[in-house]
Amino acid sequence: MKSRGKMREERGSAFTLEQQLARVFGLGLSAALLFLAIGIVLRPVLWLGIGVLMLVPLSGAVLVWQDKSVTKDTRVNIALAFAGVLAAVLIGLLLRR
Amino acid sequence: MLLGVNWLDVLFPLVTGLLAGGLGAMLGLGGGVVVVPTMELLGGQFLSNPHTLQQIIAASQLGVLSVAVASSAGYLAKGGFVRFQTAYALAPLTVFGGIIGSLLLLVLEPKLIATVFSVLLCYTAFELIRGLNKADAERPEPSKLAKPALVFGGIMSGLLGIGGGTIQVPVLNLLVGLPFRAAVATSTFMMGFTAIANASIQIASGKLEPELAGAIALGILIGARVSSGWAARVPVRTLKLMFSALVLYSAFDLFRKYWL
Repeated sequence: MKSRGKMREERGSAFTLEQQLARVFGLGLSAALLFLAIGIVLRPVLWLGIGVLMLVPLSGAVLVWQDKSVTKDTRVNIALAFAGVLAAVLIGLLLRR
Repeated sequence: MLLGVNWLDVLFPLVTGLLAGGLGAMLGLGGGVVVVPTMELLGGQFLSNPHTLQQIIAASQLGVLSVAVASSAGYLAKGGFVRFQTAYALAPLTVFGGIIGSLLLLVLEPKLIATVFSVLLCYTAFELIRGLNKADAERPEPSKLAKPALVFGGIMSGLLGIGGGTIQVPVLNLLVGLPFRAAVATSTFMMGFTAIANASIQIASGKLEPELAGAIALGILIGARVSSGWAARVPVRTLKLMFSALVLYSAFDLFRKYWL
């Protein structure tokens, strides 16, 4: 009998990288839409919507990073893009002071 | 006032976002070229508390992120359009440019920013008209000019709150050598990362107005979703011509507001 993890692994590999990304972007889009709509009245939920929106491309990058077909160069470029986003946050925090 | 919300302050940016998302998805634009002039030129008449140009541009960054996510979801679902290797190879350049542009936004005079925006709007109209009869151009080797051009696109995106598609798409098509449709899809995918970096600076520095940005982002998400179903039925050529005229008028009005 196959373990649940093994079955999930097999099921996951049935999707191509592009299909997995499409699912992540589609789900993120729906969640952001819902949270932003509720956030018009409930402000804390608005931040949740903004957060989800920002997480979607980052999650996509993590998915691509994990894929076996991706070259080392692409991984380095993804890391550089992440470093850029982190630098942007730090610069923003410094400007706040 | 209902539920503690001034609804006109929500509806005006929401409708602006709807328009930006709808046109953005049909014409391959980031939406900033619609959001910034509309909010800047008409905001004073409809909003109880009009926003500064910097606040509008900061909110537009989140709008661009919405366009990027909504359009990328569509292109990924269709399959075969987004070139991941190219997108991630070039994304650090636009992120780097975006950070420089976002910093410039915080220090430059609104008059100068409005002038640069007017010039960019004229260029957008020119690109739209030029693209009416353009055939697909493929290139065997990427040009050496591609990287500096993408950094420039990133700077414009951070400074003006635009997606940068106006610059990125021609660069990816003509200088990198991607087919036109792949260039549009890849540019949209890259836009996500640039917009996150730009929005992060604005959020972390406390310059982002969440209500304004949230309403614009919501409008764009709905507009992009609805119009993606219409794209095949709408006469894009006529739409491009009408939009170019509108963009030129906005460029003139923005210039007039700050100079005349």
